[in-house]
Amino acid sequence: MGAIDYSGNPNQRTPCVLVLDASGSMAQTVSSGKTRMDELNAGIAALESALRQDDAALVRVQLAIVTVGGPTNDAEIMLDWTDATDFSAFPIRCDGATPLGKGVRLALNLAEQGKQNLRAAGISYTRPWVMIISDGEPTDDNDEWNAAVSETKAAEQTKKVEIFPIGVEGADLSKLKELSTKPPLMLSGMKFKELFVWLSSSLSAASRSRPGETLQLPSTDPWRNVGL
Amino acid sequence: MPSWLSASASVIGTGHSASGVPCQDSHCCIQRGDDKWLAMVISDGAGTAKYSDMGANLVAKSFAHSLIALSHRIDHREPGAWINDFVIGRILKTRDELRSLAKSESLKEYHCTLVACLLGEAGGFIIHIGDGAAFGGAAKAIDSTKCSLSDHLFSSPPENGEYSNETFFITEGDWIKHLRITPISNADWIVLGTDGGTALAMVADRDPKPGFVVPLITSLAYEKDLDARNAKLAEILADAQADRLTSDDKTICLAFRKSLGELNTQFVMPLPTITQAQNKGPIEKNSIGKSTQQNITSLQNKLKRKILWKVQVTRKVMIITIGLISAISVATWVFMNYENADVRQIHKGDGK
Repeated sequence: MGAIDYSGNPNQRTPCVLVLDASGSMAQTVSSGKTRMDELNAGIAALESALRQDDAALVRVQLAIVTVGGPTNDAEIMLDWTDATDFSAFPIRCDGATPLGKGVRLALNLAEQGKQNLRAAGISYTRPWVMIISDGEPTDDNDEWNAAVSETKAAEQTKKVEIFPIGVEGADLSKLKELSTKPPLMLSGMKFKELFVWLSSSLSAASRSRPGETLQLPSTDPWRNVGL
Repeated sequence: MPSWLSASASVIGTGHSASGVPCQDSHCCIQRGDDKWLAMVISDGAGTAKYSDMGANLVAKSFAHSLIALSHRIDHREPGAWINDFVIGRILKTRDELRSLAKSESLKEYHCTLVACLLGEAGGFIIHIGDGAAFGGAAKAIDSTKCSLSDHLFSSPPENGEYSNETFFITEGDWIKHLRITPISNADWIVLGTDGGTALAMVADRDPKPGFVVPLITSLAYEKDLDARNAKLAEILADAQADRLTSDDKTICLAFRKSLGELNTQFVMPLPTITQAQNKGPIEKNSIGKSTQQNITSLQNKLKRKILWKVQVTRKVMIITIGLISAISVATWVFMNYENADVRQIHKGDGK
């Protein structure tokens, strides 16, 4: 008798775009004594190690990163679609303004593109997640910001993506609130590490659902019931 | 002696055990008393529904008994379109039982899928709503040492929405739109799996994965005891390596002809393109459960038709040949006579 073959990666993917605020205001020091940006970078490293510890999430999650601000002072794709197995964290530097609306719109396009790539490759997928982590002070002009708000709301309503707004310590939540029907989560004490650990553990808990219903995640109010 | 041997197991996924959610997969296999029929049902409860584990459990048990009831009917009545109606009636009965369990008109807390099959000596069929899959094939000896399992592959593939974690449930109002009944007439083995099970046993939910299915059947084919087969299957599903492929609950039910375990050859599975025998519509008369005698009669009829056709062709050829020969003879006779007449005339003319 031959051995059972457990190899291969036939899994469905969950595309996940991270929109990371790398604007100048992220250089502010918070209660831990580090800057918001240091904690965010530590969080991305934690994401990588959390994924590496979770076999099922590691073969399912695909990542892309959009940064907002930073040395180029623009919204840009920092990392195009990458399987979590191939992902390695890298530090992001902060500087400049916060074209968050532009970054969010870029992320929505990236999510659609991710789905198209998977479709073309014949790999099934779940609804993409867009996680927006910011201090909530966009510097886009009104038109750009309003366009971003209406696009994210429409995308959520038509189940194109699932949006997760997250504010860092001291963030202004009023703008982040506009991006999703879900209330923004305040990351008291900047718990990026926990957030990313939660991201991977809830993904592996994501089993099955159907349109219009919600998945019961293990914890983390107020997002306990996330539509997938 | 039973004509089919089965093995079945449901194993909780790491995603559920880690978060304290129960195993939401369920299965039920019933071999009829006289061993002529085997009913296998699996059901996968939705992660979004609070009591889907109870829903799946009820669906598997209730529907497996319904299939056995169906097998008794088939004993006395030739398979036909009535089977569709019977299946629909039995699903309605299961849904009624779910409502009693829920004590409510809404079944949304009990959402679950259905993958079922009824297997007789000469064939059977697959009944399917939602995701998960059923697939199988016939066995064919390649030589004295090897036996192919991929002769005549068939499948009832999963049905999903755009997103692979969206599917359709027996508990929904429009369940009948997603009901698929697939007759199978040439099967020596069959595997039923929930989506967690097919993550192991299939490649991208499309084709059987030989690297999994062949060793699986090989290891179970020589296990004479049902409990031992079930335990072995559970062990394979619970392997830590399986959790690398899926964090979902994993259920597999499989059955193979007893004779497969007596072949004493090596199983192989060369993969051609799979025939997707899905959405065939209502079952037509004679499409399933043909007895060997019926098969032989239809073969004899085919042979008779062939001979008749040959006789007809031979006759036609003979008639044409005879016609041609007579036409040529007449033409020759006319030509000869004409020539003679001509010569006679010339002679006459000469005489003048």
